[in-house]
Amino acid sequence: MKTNKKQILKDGQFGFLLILPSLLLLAMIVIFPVIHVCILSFMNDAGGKFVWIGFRNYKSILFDDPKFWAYFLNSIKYVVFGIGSAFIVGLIVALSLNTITRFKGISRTIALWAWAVPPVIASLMWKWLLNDTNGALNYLLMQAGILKNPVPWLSLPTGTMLILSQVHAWTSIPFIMVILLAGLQTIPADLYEVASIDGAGSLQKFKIITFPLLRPSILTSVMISAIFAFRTFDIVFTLTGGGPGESTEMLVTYVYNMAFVFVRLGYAAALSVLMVIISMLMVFLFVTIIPTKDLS
Amino acid sequence: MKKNLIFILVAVAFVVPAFATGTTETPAAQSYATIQWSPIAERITAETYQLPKGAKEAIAAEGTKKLVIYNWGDLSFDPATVENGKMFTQLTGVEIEFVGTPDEQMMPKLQPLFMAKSDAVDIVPLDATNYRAFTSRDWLMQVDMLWDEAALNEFQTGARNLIINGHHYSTPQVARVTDIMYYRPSMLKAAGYTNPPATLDEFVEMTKKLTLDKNKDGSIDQWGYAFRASGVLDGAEIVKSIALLYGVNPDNVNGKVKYNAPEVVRAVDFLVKLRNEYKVVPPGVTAYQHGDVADFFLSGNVAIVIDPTYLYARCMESSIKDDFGVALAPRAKKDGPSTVIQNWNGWGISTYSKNKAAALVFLDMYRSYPAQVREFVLENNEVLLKKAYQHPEAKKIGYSSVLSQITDTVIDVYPGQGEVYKAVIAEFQNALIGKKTPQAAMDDAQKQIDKIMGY
Repeated sequence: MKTNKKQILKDGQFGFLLILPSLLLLAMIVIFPVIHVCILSFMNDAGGKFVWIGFRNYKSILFDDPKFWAYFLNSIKYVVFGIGSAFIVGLIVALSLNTITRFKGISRTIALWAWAVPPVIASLMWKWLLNDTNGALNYLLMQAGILKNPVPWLSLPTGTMLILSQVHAWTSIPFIMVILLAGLQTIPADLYEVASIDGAGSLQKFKIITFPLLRPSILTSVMISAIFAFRTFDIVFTLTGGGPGESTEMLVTYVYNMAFVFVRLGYAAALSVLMVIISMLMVFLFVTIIPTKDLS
Repeated sequence: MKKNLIFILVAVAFVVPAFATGTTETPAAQSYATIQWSPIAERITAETYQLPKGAKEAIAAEGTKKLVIYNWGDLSFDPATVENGKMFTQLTGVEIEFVGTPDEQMMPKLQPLFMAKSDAVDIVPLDATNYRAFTSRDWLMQVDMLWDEAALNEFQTGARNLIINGHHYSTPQVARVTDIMYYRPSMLKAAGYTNPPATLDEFVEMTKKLTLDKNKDGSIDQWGYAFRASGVLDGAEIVKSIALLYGVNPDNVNGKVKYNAPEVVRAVDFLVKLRNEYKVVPPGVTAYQHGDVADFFLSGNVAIVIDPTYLYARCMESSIKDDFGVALAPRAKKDGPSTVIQNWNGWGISTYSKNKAAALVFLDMYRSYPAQVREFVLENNEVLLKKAYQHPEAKKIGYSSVLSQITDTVIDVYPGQGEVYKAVIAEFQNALIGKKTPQAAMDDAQKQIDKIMGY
């Protein structure tokens, strides 16, 4: 049977035919929109008609638009603070869950529940937790004697970005934790036993065994989370709308406003293309700074 | 093999969309030209709505069985819209599919449909932010045939501001008055007042006494006032509403948008002082958006708010239904202007609709007396048709007396408005958090406005 098919359809053409419907669907819903956005990015639609203007949108964004660079910096701060915090907490939780023997199942379920909350719901929940008048966070901190007066967490002259990034961290911890936990479970227990015989302490074991062998998991979790964070929209849109002032305005909200509030589609498309390029650069950066090839 | 794959992908990317998009209007689809709309004013203000002559025939010629209409938010909040839809179906036999869409998703959903020249939507809901954008791209059908001078006179003056270059592209759905004051009589009484404030000076004095730390724990339990300084329109509209009381419309200062006019800076200064000097509003107002202030009022954290009229219906359904009052927003001076902003919502027809005759009749029906009365009575939405307020049921609405005191309203719709408001809101917030003085903030906003508007 197999031989007959090979005779009729050469060089895996049969396989290609099988995936052709999926390819066609993919082409329609992914490739065409991508090409369309790229073409739009070379057009100006200010007068209501699309006119080809070459690289002018890109030139304007990169050289004449200070907002782009300010929002880019905000996006980077958001990614660094948010994913940095999420990674530290995620690692601690993963190490703990990898060590404990009792209530393992329920502990892992609890650690994962934040992941099950839809981003918009999580944003609304945090909006009320951080509220300056009725918010639970202010109430708890005042009851504990840490605060004397309530703090308007989402209206601070400086620091609101840090608050937003920590909300993002809360949503990212379960994902990072799951990947790291999976990585931890692939490390052979023998290595720790040998290290113990050699007199290594916990910190040394972490430094010479856990961290190096966890590098692939760290790369995967941090890289994917960072790209997700870079394009996160719900949290900033719901919590601050980019304010106060423009202190929490980010590239993704800039694209949204350009496309759907100001209706400057060509400019928004160029911004989107630049965001994709920046995401690709981020991947390159992560692969460069977290090498995984010398693990042996 | 590679060549084949690339060929197929390119073919799909360019050929399929070419078939999928692009609609051409058939002769049957132009049947709306045979409908006799006149006499418009008489028809739309009659006790029962009368279809224009030739409407049924035109719809039949077009072959329309169903209209697809996008709607702001879920229909469970819009009983009047549902009832008006039923009335249309009874009159024409055309079914209506309302697509309830969250406000923030409306543009992202409609824009791709228009760009793909899709006929999947017939009628779209409009507001100040999308109306000019859609018309400038020829995405809305001209509806000049639905209007004449007599018909325009039946509506409040703001309706004329929706005419673009001498052409009509919409009919009104609702018009929500922004500036109605809601207050809690029990809180005012406890502070020694029997009436709400009539002037801004009285307002400041009153809100100071209404701001209380009841249990002396350092946390304010009851704020005198709260406003919305964030959102897509809210932050700019609060500035504009106070500036209007000082006698200037920043969206139209001698035909130009001017947010650093002295009266506007004074308005910003007033609001900044409420937060930072008098401390009568929650410091978190910079993050408050659509609905937040209403929630605070309903939960008993705020004594006075100035909010759209839909809050009235929410109050009536809440635990404070026996302890709230409504009044005209305070004026700058007793004899000063009481101009208020109207947030307009309208209907427009997609250029790519294949059901234009039925869609035109829907627009004609929705601005008629029975439909507009329903909007006001069932949903407490303001309407532009003046006669609707004469209906006996309309007179029973609690804030009808407040509406009757309003003598001047403004509806401003202009290209670049969304961008202008975004700049104003950001700079207003900078002033609120003390990063800039009101003058510097509004000067910076004006620099951006000049660029946006091409001054």
